[in-house]
Amino acid sequence: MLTMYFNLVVNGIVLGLVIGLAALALTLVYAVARFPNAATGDMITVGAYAGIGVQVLGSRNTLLQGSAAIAACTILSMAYYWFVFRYLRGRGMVALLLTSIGLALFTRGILSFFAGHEQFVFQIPLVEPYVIYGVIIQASDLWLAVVALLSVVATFAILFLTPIGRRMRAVADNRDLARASGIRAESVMIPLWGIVGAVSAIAGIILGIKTVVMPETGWLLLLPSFTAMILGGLGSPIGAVLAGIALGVAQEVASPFVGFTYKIAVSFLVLLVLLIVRPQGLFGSLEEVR
Amino acid sequence: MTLTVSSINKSYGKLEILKDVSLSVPAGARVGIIGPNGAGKSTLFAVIGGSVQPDSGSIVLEDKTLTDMRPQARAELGLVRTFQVARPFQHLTVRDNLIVAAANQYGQTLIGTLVGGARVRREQDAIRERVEELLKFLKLDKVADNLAGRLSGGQRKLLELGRALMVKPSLILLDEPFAGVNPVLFGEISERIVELNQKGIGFLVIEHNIQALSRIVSEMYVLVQGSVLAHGAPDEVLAIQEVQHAYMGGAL
Amino acid sequence: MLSYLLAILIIVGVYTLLTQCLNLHYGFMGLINFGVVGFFAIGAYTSALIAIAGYPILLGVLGAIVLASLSAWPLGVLATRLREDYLAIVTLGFAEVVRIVVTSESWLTNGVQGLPGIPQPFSSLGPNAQGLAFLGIVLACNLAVLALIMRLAHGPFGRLVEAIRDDEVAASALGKYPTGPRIQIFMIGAGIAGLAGALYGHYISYIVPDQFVPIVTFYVWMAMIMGGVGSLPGSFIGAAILIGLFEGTRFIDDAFPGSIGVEMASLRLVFIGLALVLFMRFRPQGIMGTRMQS
Repeated sequence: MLTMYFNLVVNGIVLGLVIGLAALALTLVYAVARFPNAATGDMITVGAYAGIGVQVLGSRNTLLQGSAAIAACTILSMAYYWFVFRYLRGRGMVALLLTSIGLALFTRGILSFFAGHEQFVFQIPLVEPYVIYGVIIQASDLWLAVVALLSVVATFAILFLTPIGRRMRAVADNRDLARASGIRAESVMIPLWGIVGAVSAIAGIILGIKTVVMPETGWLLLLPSFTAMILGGLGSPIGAVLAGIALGVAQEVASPFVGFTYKIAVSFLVLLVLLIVRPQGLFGSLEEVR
Repeated sequence: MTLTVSSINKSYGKLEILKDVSLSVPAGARVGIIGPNGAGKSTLFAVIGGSVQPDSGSIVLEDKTLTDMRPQARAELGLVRTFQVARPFQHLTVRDNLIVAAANQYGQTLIGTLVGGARVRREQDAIRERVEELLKFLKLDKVADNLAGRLSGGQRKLLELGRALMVKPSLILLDEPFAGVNPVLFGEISERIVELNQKGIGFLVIEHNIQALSRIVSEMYVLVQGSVLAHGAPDEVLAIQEVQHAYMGGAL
Repeated sequence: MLSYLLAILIIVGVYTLLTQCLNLHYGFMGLINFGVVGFFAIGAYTSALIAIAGYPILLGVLGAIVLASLSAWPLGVLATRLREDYLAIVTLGFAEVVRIVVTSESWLTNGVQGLPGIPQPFSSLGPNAQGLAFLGIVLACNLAVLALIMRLAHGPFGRLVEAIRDDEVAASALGKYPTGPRIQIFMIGAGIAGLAGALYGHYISYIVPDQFVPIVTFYVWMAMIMGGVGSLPGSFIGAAILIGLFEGTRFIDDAFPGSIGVEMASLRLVFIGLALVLFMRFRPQGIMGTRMQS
């Protein structure tokens, strides 16, 4: 009985890392552009389909699939910025949010037009799972968790250890102050949207391997990711990832009680309680909140 | 109605904005507050008006304690504030700015607006009558149909005063009535304030312009670095050396 | 041909109601409702279930309006405390939860199989006469809602709402409470969407959870933006363009089973997404030309 919960926790951590990655992508955009980017979910779907595309072409090499996903999403994400969001600066949150919804629908429409509505599955080799005191840990889960953690670490390394990351944080902190010290917001946007794309791609591959790939895959992840972003304190990358993991575990552990279909509702419930009790999130400060 | 503010303290983190501030405005009096930038004048108004909660201290209007009340409840009791930078409702006309401000409108409730019929019509007619009078009194009748967002600085101040009057207050908190106003209008505004005061409305006025202020108030508080430094008749207060020093580096 | 035209007009009417709901929420009160379809679904299911249980259709429609309004109450309360982008996310989540509930609670809603055989009014008339009568009802509902919104917008209440939207702090200092109007408007708008849902269900006579996916909400946003935010005639024009040019086929398809390929559904997504992006970029004020509030 207890081991079942441990298994759910392990599963929750891996799915939570996916939510955390998605929330990280949301948070990065929010920090510099001040809107919840609803196109994030479908960007994740693009990542998953890029991996599937490589598989359909005949390669079961996960590394190759992942690279294709990262390449596709990075380019697409930068294109979103360059061809769309760039022109909407200063137009208010509603305009940006609606535009991101438009992009989300557009992207999903294109994907489902070419790939259809049937589900795809990543063919990964079966490996004997590790069993530790009755808790079953799939080797693939372990690998996926490691990859997710590595990408989080890599993102943070870029944000906190490189000059471009320092400029990004300066712009996120205070656009005017950054400009005053010679950092043009536009100069960090392209690399930032690139990172957002790459993070989404990895989330897509992991999610695809863990579950199935269909046109709604990423969109369904959006609500938990929004919740994780707010839970983690708006604009806090570390908070977003930690909150994502917490949410993933909560969803999995709750599923025996509420049933599989209500799993998404769990994050909605968390979101409601959170907004009523602590709208600034667990790690955030109050000033962001009305 | 007498306003009594006692021992107000307010800090943001380690920054103490108000330190043990007490003052009182007797019923129907005209009282001023002066002080250099950053002395805490606007925070004090926000605390009295109810948009900022003090850490400690109390605010009493006549016999009612306002300290924990929301701004709306304070307005209902007759205490209305204006803002340092006037805040007209930009997408309403000058006339509608005044109409909307009238207190306790049945027509502003959902039920009233849907099925209020004759009662709402009578109520709105009465309000419009008051508004027309007020527009003339404030010399805003020529711009009554303009959007409030297009008014000049002085007209905005007058409109804000008019909006406060629509609430039928017993005490008005005026935040820098002369700031951003063409000096030609100074006399105009001062006269209106004195006239209204003669009808029994009390005023508590923050002002940067000491000359303009001393012409309209009979009593003055000096706020420096969050504390009341001096209090008395304008001449007395301005004669105090510390005040001159604190306020203008002695160059008064 | 006449029945085809009637079907299109009725669906346009239903979407005009939804667009009026959103115009009341967003255009009038500034509330970002991304959960229009949730209230639509609540209305459709409530009225259908009441009517299937043998009660009069009118009772079902009233029940739909009331239940949709009531379901909006907690969200409305929350809306008074939330930043606008949070409200968008919360309403989006709400609509998803509504869909999950109607999908999962099969004992009540028959789950993914949906509810067939929803009673239709005027069924004793011939098909065209029935459609005509139904269109009359839809038109009457739209006019009633239009009158209601005009009344709200162009009186003391509307003035108060404008003042609150312009400057909440100044309004509070004058003794005005912003929370009441926000909650009331949110509930009234939800009731309108509930009404639209009820009419939709009784017209189509068959509802399934798949008719209430999030994209429906964005169809309505698209209709509102095309027609011009805050423009009530625009609600009709936007809805008419949306349905006439593009959506009609699918709802005709719902009404008269046949099939249009999955590719069509995908192209519809592409089209609506692209239109949303292009409108926001080049013509946020819509075709009718009112200003977009942000």
